[in-house]
Amino acid sequence: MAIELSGVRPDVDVIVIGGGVNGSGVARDCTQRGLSVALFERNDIAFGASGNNSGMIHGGPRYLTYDPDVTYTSCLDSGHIQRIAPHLLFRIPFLMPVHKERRGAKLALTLLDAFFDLYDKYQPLKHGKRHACLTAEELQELEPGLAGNTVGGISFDEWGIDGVRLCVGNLVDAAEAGAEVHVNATVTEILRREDGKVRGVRFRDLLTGESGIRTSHVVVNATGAWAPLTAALGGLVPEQARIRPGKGIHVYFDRRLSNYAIAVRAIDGRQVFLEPWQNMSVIGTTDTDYYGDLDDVVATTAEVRYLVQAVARVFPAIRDARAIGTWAGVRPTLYDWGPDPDGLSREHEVIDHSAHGVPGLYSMIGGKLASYRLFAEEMTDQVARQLGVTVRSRTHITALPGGEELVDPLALAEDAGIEAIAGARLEYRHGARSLRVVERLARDPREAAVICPCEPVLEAEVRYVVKHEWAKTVDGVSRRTRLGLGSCGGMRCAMRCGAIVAEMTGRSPLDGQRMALDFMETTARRRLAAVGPIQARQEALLLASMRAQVGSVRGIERPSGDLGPTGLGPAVAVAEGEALAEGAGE
Amino acid sequence: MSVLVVGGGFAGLAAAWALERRGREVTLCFRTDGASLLYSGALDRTDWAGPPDPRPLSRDAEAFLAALGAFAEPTVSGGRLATGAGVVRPARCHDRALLDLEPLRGRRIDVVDFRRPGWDAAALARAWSVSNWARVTRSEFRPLQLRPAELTVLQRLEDNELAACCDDPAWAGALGDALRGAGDSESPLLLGPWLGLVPGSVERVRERARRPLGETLSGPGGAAGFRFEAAREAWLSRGDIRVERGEVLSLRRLESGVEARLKADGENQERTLPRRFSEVILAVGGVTGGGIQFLSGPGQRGRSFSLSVDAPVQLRLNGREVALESGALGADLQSLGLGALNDVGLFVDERQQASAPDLFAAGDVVADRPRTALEAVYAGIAAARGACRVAASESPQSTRPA
Repeated sequence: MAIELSGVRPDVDVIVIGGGVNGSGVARDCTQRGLSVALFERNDIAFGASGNNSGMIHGGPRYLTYDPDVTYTSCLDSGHIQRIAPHLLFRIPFLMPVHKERRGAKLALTLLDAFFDLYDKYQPLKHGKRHACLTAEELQELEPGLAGNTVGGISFDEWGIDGVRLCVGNLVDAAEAGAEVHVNATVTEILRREDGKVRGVRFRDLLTGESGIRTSHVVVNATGAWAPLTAALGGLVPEQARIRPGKGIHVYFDRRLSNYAIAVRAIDGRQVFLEPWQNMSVIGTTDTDYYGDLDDVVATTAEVRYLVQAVARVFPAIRDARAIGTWAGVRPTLYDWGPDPDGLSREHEVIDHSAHGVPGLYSMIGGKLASYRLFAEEMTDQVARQLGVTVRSRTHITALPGGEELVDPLALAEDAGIEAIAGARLEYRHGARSLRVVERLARDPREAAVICPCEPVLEAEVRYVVKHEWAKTVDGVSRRTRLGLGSCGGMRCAMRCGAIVAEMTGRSPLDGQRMALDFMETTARRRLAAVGPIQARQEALLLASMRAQVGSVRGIERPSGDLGPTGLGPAVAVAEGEALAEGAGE
Repeated sequence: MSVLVVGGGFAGLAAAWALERRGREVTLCFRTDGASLLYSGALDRTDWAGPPDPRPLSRDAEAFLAALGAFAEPTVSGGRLATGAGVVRPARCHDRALLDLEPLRGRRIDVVDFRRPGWDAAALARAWSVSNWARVTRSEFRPLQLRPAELTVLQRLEDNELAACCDDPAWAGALGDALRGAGDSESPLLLGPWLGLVPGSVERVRERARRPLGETLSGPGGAAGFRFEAAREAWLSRGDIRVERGEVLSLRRLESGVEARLKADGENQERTLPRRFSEVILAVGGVTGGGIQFLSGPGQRGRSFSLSVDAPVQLRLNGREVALESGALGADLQSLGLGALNDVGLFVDERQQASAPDLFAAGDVVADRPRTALEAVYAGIAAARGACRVAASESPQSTRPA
């Protein structure tokens, strides 16, 4: 129940807008301190930068020269995340080769060596290994795919993570402690009292169309790149929650192409990388100012080429590798006029809008995945202070759901009678909670069916994330489980997944088909920027297959938003055509 | 002189059939893979998202399909098929192992559930039951669980392996027996694409089951494609048509006719075919079949699409010549849109004639036509007719079209 303050007892103490890592982190911290919380997410959990980043909680060695505090807090918080969610972490050892054609290459290597000596001081914070200065031969031995004449290189240690799972973990924990979580519900207005103070929000559920009001003492704007737009819903001018939006894209490939991540310099001198990530390889990233539609950020061919060209210089096999998709996100970097996007601070700050006449409204600006927990703690400290709560944050010592204990994935697979790889992937995503997923198999062994063979994902997991993790569409299931993101492009799993989601959420099979088509259309559009000659055949095959089974190639080709004359989307258009024909014949 | 047909899918085979029927000597050249071997089992001239295509089959197309022997006899109104995605779709005609729903209007159709992973009979039955066809015709689909003790492979094998089992007459008989008494012993049975990799296996099952039964559409690489391949091989084994297996690399026009260079399967050396050809029909397939290749990346100078055969032709996209120069970094597929992959093709006139009087094209390789199996059959037959007309007008003494 909410706290009573000056005679007012609202629905909840705190409303959080935004289901990214900052919003879910704040929701969790608030509930741990005994505050009641309602969270609203317009699209889906981790829809923005939280689910579309490099998938690392790296210490940020590149900030060391001008922002050493960022490196320190990143490394410290990275260590905390490892403690609370050990299942989500995987080691990504980096190699940074130094090429002979670079002027003063030997000196550069020596300087790098010294620089990483400094970085090593931070490594214990995140349980990382010390760097090594490698000879050209050693580099070649470690990563035979490396090309070019090097004078040697540096190794350093980072940690990979699935940002979506991190957000989901925070939200599940918050919800189990009583928080309300509204996914696909957009806040349409931040309500204020006559004296200007925040009163709550008006929201609309985008799936059902229903709207409502929720009242609170405090509203936290944790909407990342959307922050200025969200602040405007409370009558502020967007500049009062200003960010500098920086678009970053990644391209992913159908398998792990290297053992080590490789840091390389792009044509403009920027640092980009190739990394083995989960069961694939990823190249990234770009950083460009972005002014487009935040709900539809898509990588372009030009951006893909910039990355491929950079990586190919050092790792030529990338040109023959099969790209199976791209993702793109927008960083909510602290606003600054002038510096190029790479030079912008990765610091974070809380804006207290009482300075702008809206007490009770806060905006979270900036930050990075690695220090989300600390940012959420700082935000919650301010909220707690306002509400007179003195409990300290414990989010760095209490485990996230699934992180309480380690589960042996092979034993899990054997006990559940599923493939070892399926068990391992399940355990990665859910940690100790994977036991709850496989519990479902005891009740219905048919849920052991593999829905997505690429990842793989079992039917039990699809049902689990719909039931316990707010997945409402095929896209939502895919975001949480990586279903349909493998080499088949969703051809083998999207329809099946759509049928399951529709059944579980009380929608018609036709709705399930439509959801599946929406998902495949979206991933196909994202893939197109990275498609080469060989993949073009695969795409054509996918289209032909869809045409035969669903009759809706136009649905795939059509730009999103246009759902045809019926306004009901491709699958319905099929049925309408049928109905016309039947009507004419009888 | 003889005609060279390049491509052994629906279009190429239909062209070879029509040429042979008109008394022309034919050489058919093809590699094994292509879109036709990945087809679903349904034959239509247009994309079927709208109302069903009302045009009945032409006599030639019907005769060609009958010659292959893998297809159901076409009906006047066309049929209705169930897809593995839970949709009921119209089809002009189809592989005869598939279950045509149209004659089963108003009945209850049992969806056989062998508890196979990847075949969610309950969900599929629900989806088909709410389709417009089922609602308008008051037909109903219901899952029917079956676990024949003696046929344990039904749960274990992959779709195509299961279909291969059905090619064994004893096994097909046992399956038919198991299906005979299932449920109410009368309702039609709908199964996945498991009823044989050669045409004819399904009849053995039907004989023993003594009730209507059949498959849904195949996914890409499923049983229907194998049955088309088997039917093609059976038809070619009569020996009336000269067959070269391999990839045609180039076509060159000489005074004595067109010369073709070939990289035969299993041979390391390229060679020139000994014959010269008076006409050539290109039925090499679109992007899926590998006939049109999308070029990208540095070192790919010139056009962004090319034909797998070096021949004097014009590529088109949306009614315009493809003149997209791929720059230093190759063509930008994103700017062309996903549709470009389907739509790029050869420009031909109404007689299927490409840029030269002795060059014809049919099937997915042709621009601005639906990419469907039946359209390919029609185009193949039309191209054969066109080739014969050219021959007839040039040399009055040559065989007249039948």
